[in-house]
Amino acid sequence: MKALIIKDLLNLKGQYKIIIAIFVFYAMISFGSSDASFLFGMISVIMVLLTITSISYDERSKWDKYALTMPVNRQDIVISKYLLGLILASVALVLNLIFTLLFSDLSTSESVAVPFALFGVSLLFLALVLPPLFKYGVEKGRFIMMMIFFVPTGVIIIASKMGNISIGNDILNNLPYILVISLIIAVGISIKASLRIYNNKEM
Amino acid sequence: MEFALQLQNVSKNYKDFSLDNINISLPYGCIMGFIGENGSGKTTTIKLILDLIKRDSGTITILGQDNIKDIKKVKENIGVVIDESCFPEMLTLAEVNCILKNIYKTWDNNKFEILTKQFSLQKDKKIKDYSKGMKMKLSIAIALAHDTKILILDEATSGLDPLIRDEILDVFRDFIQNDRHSIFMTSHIISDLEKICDYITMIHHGKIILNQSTDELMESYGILKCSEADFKTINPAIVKGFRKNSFGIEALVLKNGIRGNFVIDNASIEDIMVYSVKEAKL
Repeated sequence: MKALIIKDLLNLKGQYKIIIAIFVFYAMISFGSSDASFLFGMISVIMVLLTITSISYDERSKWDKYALTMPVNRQDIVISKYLLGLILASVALVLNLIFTLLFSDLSTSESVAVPFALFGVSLLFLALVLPPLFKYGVEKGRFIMMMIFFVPTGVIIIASKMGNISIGNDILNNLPYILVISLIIAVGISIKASLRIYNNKEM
Repeated sequence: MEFALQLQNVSKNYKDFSLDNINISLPYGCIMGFIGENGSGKTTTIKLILDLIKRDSGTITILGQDNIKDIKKVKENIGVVIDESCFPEMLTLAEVNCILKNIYKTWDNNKFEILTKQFSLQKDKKIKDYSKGMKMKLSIAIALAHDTKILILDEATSGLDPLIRDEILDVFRDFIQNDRHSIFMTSHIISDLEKICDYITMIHHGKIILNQSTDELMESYGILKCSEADFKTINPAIVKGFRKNSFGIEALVLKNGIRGNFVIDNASIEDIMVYSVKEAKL
């Protein structure tokens, strides 16, 4: 397991320079406009996409097939991708918190909530996207990934156009807890589904 | 007799192809060559052995252990080279070493260094810049640099030049010096197999059609050259395949079934394969 994560982090090292360049670029923009929200989103999206990039690298060199001839089992491969996603999303969280301290107005509690919200969304996205990626591979899974991006966005836009949606105060006050619990459940179901798909996969 | 690798009545069915009741037994200390034309089921068999695909029936044991139940422990002792499968491209040799150290409990740093040096693999080059032959050599080095007791090689020497192939065959001969070590290999370069294999197993359309020791094969088969008229006098049961040319007939025959004065050349394994498969097609 450790070996697989080391492998991914080393294999992605070519991407780090590009990412740093992007960070510096957006950091400068944010610094100029003193609005860091755009930068936050970018960091999270890039980190999440790195997980998917690592899967596509593996596919290209037919690594999975090879790894399974070593003392590595299918479960290790699946779980290692979730852990990689968690590590990268955590890096994004830390970076976003640092940028919050540097650029944002700390008087509002909202600004601290944003990095955590993005962290949650990143994990939710991975939970949704990983099972189809294990099933169909990155090439074929791309369409499904797009749907996962766009369908919620569409729903939110339509919902906002429909006018006032009232949510009870009780729910609103407990919203963070509800979200955290649903996220944990979603990730749990996702891991279970991925394991099932991958265990039955013919290499 | 104890076997390093044993397949018993293994079957796997696809829509357009099936492996039918495969039986293979590789004794400890031996090298078995697994031959057959493209699409005959060699790679499918190897994938079944490695549990990359699920078998429909039969049993497979590697080093005495079931290949599904106890596989993780056994994998420490298996070295595998699969055609076209390798480490992800952005890694360097040093990084590959670092990863493998964390995968194999029995990883042997020294041996890996020696082998990669012998194969002249550059340390700081990325795998994506390796040629096909270099990737193959890397896989072979990895396959040998842990507590390997059985090597499973799928086309490990194809794509390499004769000099390197010779060097690699020597590495395999070294490996087999230990009488608990075994090798199961496929190759289209049959002359290589002839040089090093103790047993030859041939697969055709998903069925094993030949399974014998190399010496026995070479002794029992011969290429008979004669006129068409003479050929008619020969018992068809001993003819495994033939072809006509302008000088007469060339046929693969069982040597000991020939009576009378005929010219019989030694048959190479390549001859045996080509004639047998042709016959099976008729």
